[in-house]
Amino acid sequence: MQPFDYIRPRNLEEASHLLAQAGKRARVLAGGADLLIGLEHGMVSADWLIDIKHLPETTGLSLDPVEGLRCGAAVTLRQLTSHPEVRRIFPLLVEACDHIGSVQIRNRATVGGTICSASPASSLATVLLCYDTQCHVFGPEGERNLPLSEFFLGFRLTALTPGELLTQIVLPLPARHTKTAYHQLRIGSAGHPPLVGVAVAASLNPDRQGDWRLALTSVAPHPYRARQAEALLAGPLPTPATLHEAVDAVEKSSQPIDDHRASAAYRLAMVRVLARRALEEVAGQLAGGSP
Amino acid sequence: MNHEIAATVNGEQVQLTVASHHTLLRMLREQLHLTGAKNGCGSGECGACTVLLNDEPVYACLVLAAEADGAEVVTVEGLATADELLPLQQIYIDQHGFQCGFCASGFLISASALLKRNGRPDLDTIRAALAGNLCRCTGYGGIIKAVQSASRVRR
Repeated sequence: MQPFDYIRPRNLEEASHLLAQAGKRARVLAGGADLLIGLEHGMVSADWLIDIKHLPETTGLSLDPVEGLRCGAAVTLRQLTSHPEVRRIFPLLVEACDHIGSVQIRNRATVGGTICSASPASSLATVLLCYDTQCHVFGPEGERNLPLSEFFLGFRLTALTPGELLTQIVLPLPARHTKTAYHQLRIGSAGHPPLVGVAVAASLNPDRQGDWRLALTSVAPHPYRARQAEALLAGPLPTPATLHEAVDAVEKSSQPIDDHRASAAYRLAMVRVLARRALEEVAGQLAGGSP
Repeated sequence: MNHEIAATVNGEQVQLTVASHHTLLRMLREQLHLTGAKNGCGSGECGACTVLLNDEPVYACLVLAAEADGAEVVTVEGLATADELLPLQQIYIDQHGFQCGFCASGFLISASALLKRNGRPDLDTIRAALAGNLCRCTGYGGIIKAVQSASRVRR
């Protein structure tokens, strides 16, 4: 690896200052599961690595009965998915993370690092979108919050401006009896990113009107919410015709590319299959009123 | 930039000067001469460099030496005592858990961590726990069986 300096800032202000000063010559180091590979293979270069793992703002993981789940950016995937309340209340997080990398990766890769890598193929980012995740950012101008759905601006491009870092995410508590499903297609064993991924979360209000969240990965420059499909599904329990329209809307919303893992045509065909399966699974659970 | 770090490696306190850009793997192999952990891929995929960092299996090629300051590290050399191998290690030998041996250190670390957490893993659990370790020789059958046998040894 090309030499670089390693710094542990004492607080957020120092971290932000270092990042602002160094610009593209500095990178935030959280788990290193992505960054160190890039540095090792010369795909990424940096003069400074700013380690944020020791800052109190980035390491907490707690459930607040009103606010929801507060998760620091440096919380590892393993920490997140072994928290009993997370497993109970946010099952999509566990389903997504269980297939990311390996035990060794999940013991290091962090929630914040995963989000800020802004990979187009991220199971975790996709399910976080379904949970209406909010991003808390700290920078030279102080703190700001923005929805995760506004955090990804393009291929590996985030809304972070120079000097800013993601400190934590907040997931509001899902409505009671929210049903979820995450379907992904991967080549080979665990550890490889999804070829296509569809996450669905839905709940019925007291009048049995449905509120739907649908997020997709690997079929666009970044994970996103399929808003048109969500709008079609909202309201009374969807009929087979409605589900079909929603799948059409999902296909229309996606813009996959050919790459070394799969062709655009294959991804387009598979996103229909996965979307239909995930939607039917959730619709069935809603109709059945299962707990 | 160099860093003075203090860590516990295989139960012993060590104090080292490490370069910022050196990985934990490089520190273990070149400075401490613990060459059990291997450099297989440098990409966090093959698992040949797996060590325990604060009780958790990690890829030492994806951890900076400087990040190990204040941490506990266990390598394959630290699994056995001076007098005897772990049951896992003995069974691994007896049941042909390796051929060339390059992957063995990593597998033993991952498997020992599994058995410490889960005394009775089923085959799927064993496979999932070892999914981050690759073997090019054995076809995994002997490895999985050895780990399962080790889980059945009464402690």
